[in-house]
Amino acid sequence: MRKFAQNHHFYIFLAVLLVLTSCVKEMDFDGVKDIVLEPEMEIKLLKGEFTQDFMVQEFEKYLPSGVPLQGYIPGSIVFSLPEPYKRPISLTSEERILEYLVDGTDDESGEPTPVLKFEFTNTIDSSFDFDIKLLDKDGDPIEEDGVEGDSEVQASSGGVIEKSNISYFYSAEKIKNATDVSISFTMSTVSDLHKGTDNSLTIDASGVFNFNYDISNGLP
Amino acid sequence: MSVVSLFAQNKQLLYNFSEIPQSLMLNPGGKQPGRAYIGVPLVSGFYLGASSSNISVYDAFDDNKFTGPNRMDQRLEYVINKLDRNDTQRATEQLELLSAGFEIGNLFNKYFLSFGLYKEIDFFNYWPDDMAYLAHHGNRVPGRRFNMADANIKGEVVTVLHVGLQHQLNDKWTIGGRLKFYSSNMDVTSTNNKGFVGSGTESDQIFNGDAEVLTSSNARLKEIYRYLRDDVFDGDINPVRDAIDMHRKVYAEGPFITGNIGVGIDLGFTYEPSRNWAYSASIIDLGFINHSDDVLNYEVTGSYGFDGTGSGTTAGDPLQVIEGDFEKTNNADSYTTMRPVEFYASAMYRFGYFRSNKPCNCPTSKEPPSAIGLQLFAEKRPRNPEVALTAFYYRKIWEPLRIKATYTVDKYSKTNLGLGLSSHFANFNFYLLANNLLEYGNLADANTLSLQMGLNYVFPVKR
Repeated sequence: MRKFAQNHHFYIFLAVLLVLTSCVKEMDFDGVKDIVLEPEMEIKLLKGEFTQDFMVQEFEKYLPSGVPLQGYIPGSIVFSLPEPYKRPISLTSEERILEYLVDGTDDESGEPTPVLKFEFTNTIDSSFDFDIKLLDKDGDPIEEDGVEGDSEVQASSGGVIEKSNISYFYSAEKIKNATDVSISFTMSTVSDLHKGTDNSLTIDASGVFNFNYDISNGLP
Repeated sequence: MSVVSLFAQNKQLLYNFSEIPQSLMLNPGGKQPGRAYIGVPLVSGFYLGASSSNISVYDAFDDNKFTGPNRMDQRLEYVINKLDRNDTQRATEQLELLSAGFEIGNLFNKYFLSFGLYKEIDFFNYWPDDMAYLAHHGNRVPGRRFNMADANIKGEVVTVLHVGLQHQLNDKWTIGGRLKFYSSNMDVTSTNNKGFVGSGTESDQIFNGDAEVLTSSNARLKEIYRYLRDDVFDGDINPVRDAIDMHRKVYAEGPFITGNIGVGIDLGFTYEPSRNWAYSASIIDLGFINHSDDVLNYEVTGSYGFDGTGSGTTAGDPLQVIEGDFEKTNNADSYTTMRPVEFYASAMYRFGYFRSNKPCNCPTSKEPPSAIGLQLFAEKRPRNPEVALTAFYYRKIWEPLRIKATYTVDKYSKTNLGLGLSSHFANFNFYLLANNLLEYGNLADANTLSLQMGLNYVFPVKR
């Protein structure tokens, strides 16, 4: 005990050395560089609600002059919008997002991505056939790599809600060139469509996108 | 001007270990260590502490735990599943550059003046649970909103000059205070983020965020980041070698004092109603630093949703597209960070006598050589207050050797056993304090570790 008290500095120093040199088991720190982040994002892109009142209004707007306004759309006629709805897709203007956009596969459905999905819900007694396109900055349509689903939604008769959906598949490079979406439709009425109802056609569109950030390419 | 809090670590072994002069840094109203002391410059006080709740470095990086080509993906999945937004990762290092103290005043009105200079590195991070999930998996979780406030990180290098005064009012009461002057050598703070990312088609507003990263001594920070990115990350990662190189860059390079300065105070007392009982309490680092030198704050604000306005749509338009703004701005506005406020308290029972080896077997010392007690540590944190409870046993084994053994329970560990040694030989005091001793078989598997050591020269009290 006396010897320890007189030499305790040495023993303590030795103990620290022994402890610290034996204390860390083998670990794989270099593996950090193998980390690849591959999130899959679903983003709502647009939504639309075309009420029956609105349809009657648009129909009457484009009637030839001299034709009297009836205040309704007659049944059994076919009517197309003269000009499509064209809207900008602001997300595709974000360079910092697009840099990491890649071609991938939807984890849920196994379908390729990027994919734009449109869902139509109809309570108007008229069928609608849609024509949807992505446009580039020059206004030219971008050709999709694939289409799945039905661009036509059936007329709603007797209060039955009709649904339809369609998916457009694009490559990541094509999405990066897209600046606008263009939507037009042709309606075929079954019965007379009068104002003052709650009937409508809704469109919900979302995109599923895969991103890739490989840390081995370096930190930002 | 914004105000932000920082965080520190529990030094349960050093608190109340009055033979070690550095214990006055935890309670300026503690017992004085001797008539005077001088810390051996640069080696009088070195403290290193690190903690990670719910997961250890070994958990995440064990070479044998995950195998196969996508082992890092498995590791990431494991870490993301194990941690939540209240889990923290933190590290603190202090290096005392100089430290000294001596008695002043006359026989009837004696004070103990202590002063010193030390440098401190602090880092803490709340696990960014939602952001980590979003980065790894994406947002395809129905109904879930990903909270940007989960991103909460802070790091700082500070130089502290302090001067303290301790005074024994009477046989029962000892009080003290310490004034501190801070100079921040580097700071990065991102603790005030707001907003969310929505989940897929569930939300009409997919993103609404306001994120900020406040920095001072920005040029130095950029140097350190470039070193990490280009030298450490792009080469072979060797934690020990890289840590040594980082220390050299942080401590040895750059200005010693900057224009990012602040003040703070410590207050404390010891109450000894009898020979056996002693109670003490202290508040440490009640102060702030104002950052105004080489400040560069990064702000990102953005909002994407259906609002019916903007270039794409007008109000009432039947077809609405997601629209919004995403703006990145910088500014040089000064900001203030609060120093970590810590609270210590203890109750101690002293007992026993040293017995003479002479025939009378009489006690040879007035001071009881043994003590047991409880200590409480608390610190204020943004989300939840953090507390630690310590039971301790102290023993003066021999005049040259004292030990303190602790058992601490806190958020990081329920098996934290610590041991402190303070040796006194030829007026030199060497101390070594280490906690979580059960994890020394594999340090990387510990959720919390701290080590403190130093060398002082102590002039004993005149008898």
